[in-house]
Amino acid sequence: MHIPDGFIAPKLYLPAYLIAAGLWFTGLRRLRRRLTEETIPLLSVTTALAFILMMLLIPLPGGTSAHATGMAVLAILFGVWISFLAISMVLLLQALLFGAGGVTTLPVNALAIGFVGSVVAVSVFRTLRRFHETAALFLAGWLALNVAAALIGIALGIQPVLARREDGTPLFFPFGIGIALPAVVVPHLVIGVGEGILTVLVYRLFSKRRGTGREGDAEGKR
Amino acid sequence: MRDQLLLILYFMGAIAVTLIHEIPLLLAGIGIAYLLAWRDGLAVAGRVIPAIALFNLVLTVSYAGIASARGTFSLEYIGLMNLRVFLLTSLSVLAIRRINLFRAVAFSRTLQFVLILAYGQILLFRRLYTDSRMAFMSRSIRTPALRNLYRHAAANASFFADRALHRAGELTDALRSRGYFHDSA
Repeated sequence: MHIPDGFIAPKLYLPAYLIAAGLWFTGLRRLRRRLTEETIPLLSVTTALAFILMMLLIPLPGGTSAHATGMAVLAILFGVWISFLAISMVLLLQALLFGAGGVTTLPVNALAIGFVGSVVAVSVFRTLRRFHETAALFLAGWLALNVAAALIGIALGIQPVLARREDGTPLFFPFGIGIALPAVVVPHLVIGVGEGILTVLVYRLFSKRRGTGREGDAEGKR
Repeated sequence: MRDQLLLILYFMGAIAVTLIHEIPLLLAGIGIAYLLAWRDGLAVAGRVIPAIALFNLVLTVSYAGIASARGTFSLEYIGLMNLRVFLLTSLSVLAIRRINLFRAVAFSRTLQFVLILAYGQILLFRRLYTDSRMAFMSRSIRTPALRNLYRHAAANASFFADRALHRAGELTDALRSRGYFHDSA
């Protein structure tokens, strides 16, 4: 889902770096206050976990598949801050070690997928779990993915307004929100179903394996 | 120090590329990048082109179709967009080949440790995941049903989540036994 390098104007990615840096700092500080010695190992392994979750293929009807993001699973099991930091770290490693993504789009991707996606997942799960846990998990996965996709669609769609020549020729992404938003969101409405199902199944299996069934318990149980 | 300097230069270079909106300047940038790559130039281009080809082709064709229909088509934009993406991706690939990321982030001991440990775990998890996927496929005579594909993906994910927690505990003990936390204090 993430945006490749070269399609986001500095007018957007530079302020996004400032916002993301503030959130990275806050996240790390909160994590350190809570975990102390375990911060580094936990952050490292959740980064690896986030990487693997992004490698997982979500099977779609018709024999096709799409990559999962795993943001809802990570956020529900480990909390928003760990999820955000781990996904950001994955994006950094992908850009500077594995050659995917890029440094100019990293903050926008990190904010949309890592932060907003995680916040949406945890908020939906917390709000709805008292009514129906399975539905809450499914909706957390589905909505987190689609809100993140919508933000990415908007980030791409505002490029022709942010950066263009006097004659209106775009300088970065060429399509406005009217095209970019549905182009990104519509496929994710379907992929989100897979992400939602995966969120339900992973949470269930993990809870059974660990003997825990509550959000955030993954950390506290160790 | 060399790696830190190169990383800073790479970041500045990437920002500079997004501030350039002239085709001749982007072409000059590509020339400089491939001069810097020197003997690795072909390898860099060989990695860049497949990485960007599909997305850029789809975007170029879509733009050509939609902009032509609206009467706003600009050949210059197609050149600008493709050259910028090519240059940025070339710089990234070059940075990956030239910069040792772990040395480059040595200004922060925490970041350096997190990245080193995470990278090691990623390689391990990736191998385990690939093995598991291949084992699953080799044991399936027919194309697995959608339900089984989901169960397999979920079993993998929960295994890795469980393993991540277990490894976090092990790594904490390993770091503690080697005096990492004592040294940091």
